[in-house]
Amino acid sequence: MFDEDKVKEVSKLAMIELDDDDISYFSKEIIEFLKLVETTDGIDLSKIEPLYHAPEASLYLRKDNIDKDPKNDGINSAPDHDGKHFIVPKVIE
Amino acid sequence: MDIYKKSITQLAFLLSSKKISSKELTNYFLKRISKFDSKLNSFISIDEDYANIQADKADKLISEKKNNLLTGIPIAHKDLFSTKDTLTTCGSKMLEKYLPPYDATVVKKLNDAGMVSLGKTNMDEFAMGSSNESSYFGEVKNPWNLEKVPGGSSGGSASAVAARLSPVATGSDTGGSIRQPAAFCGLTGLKPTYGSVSRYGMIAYASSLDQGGPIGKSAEDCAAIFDEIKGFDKNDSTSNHQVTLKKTQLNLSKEEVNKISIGIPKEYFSNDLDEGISNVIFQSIEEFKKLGFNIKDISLPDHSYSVSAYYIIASAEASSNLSRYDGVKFGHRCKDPINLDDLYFRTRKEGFGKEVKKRIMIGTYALSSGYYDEYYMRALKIRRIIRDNFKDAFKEVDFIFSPTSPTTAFNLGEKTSSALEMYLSDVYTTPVNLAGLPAISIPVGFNNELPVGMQIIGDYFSESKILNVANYFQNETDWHNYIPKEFNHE
Repeated sequence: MFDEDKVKEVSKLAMIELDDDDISYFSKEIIEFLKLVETTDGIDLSKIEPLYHAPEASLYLRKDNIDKDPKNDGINSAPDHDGKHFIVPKVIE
Repeated sequence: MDIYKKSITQLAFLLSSKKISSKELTNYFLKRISKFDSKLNSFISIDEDYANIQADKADKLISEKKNNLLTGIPIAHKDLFSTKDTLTTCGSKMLEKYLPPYDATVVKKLNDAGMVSLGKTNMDEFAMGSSNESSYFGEVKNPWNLEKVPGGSSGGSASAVAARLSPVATGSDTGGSIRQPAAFCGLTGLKPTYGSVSRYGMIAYASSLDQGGPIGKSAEDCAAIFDEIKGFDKNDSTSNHQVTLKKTQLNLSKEEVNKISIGIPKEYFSNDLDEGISNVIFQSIEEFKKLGFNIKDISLPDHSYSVSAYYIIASAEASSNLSRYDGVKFGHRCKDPINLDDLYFRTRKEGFGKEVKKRIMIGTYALSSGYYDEYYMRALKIRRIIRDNFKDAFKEVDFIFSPTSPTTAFNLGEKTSSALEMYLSDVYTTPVNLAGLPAISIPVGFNNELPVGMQIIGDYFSESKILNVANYFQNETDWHNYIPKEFNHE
């Protein structure tokens, strides 16, 4: 049963802070969506295999080589960094 | 000279015969954007300096006769394609100031061909939407009627091309996000086979469904872009490395047409379909019949389940993909976090819009302990059934025709209060993504002065054949040449 308590639980798993209005909004929206999903309840899927990817082609695997000179350009996009490390609030109090 | 009406081939001729330079062409379209886009909001960012640098490079290539069909021609990129050191927002506050350190493969290939990027187009936040109303940068308007949505999520790309602010644009399609806006705006939009076009540098929404492709004025223009962006990319492990896709030759003969069979799925023409749209689609099917194509009734019996399966799978994948937005590595960070949990929770509260949060939560729930089998696993099994429906159909016919959307462009705000109604409008497009098939939407007429799109679905890696069928129709008809009145002048 999906309800407001479930929204609170799921938002913790999803790491999104919600206020009371959000909880009520998402609860209504998701309950409505799950009713649509329930329309598939009658289908017998016991003998069907899941399909994760289509077309079912093999993945290309690169050689497992060590990159001796990894570029670190991405760090410049971080909200806080010192050029080599991402800076976050203190983890150990 | 009415340059805004010209096809890619016509523009390439003007460029190579030195009747116009790329710099002049680029500034012509930049002026159109500056003149018209305040009515549409189809662009998030424009970089005139960079466009001019690219145009100068293209002019040099042309003068040295090192040009190809696309050299010097302007294009607009959906703002989920990473562009090196240039703003790439994905329609979200989360990436409001994000400057990627590299170009997406699609962008790199088109840059290498000498195309000129005019700017980045508006879109539903993280490509989650069917109306372009969930963008942090404001809603986009439909050039055919400014009170209507342009469709989504590639609504900015479609709106820009429909108003002829750019000759062509890139888009991405996870559940219909190229085809539905193309249909709403009277354009041609190709969603390639999953794996035909590299996803490297395309900001991820649902990785097993996302696919980039072109939105243009015609199948001919889409073929020019598709030919350039398709192909294996070692940076995308899911990109196709088994089937070689040849250059598209648009040369379908009358004799070949007479051998082509087209299936009309009876389930797609139920009571839910707008009567006006149904009439337009059947009229165009009659036109195809007159051209010599063989039309046959077929069945896709389980396709009504596709919307629910799609939204479970896409949301599940989104909840995983979007976990990277944590305020640490890139994107928005909340002010003065007191600890790491506070940083994560508040950053994601502030950075994501409502629709994105909802899909993350649906996905998190569907993947959570105790519900995984009930939701995610069942959706994956339905996905196989839907794929098998198509497999069976392609034993009987070469292509499948359907409406692209059950309605024409709807009013701004009309469906924002009912998400379910919005989701159900993806009923004809989502099965194609679940099966990973290629499909195109082409304009085939009007209903209440709004464009109607028809979808042509083909078997895996049949893009070239799909483009040929669409091009054959467009050579004989002129639905793709209509331009919204308000934008049909210099």
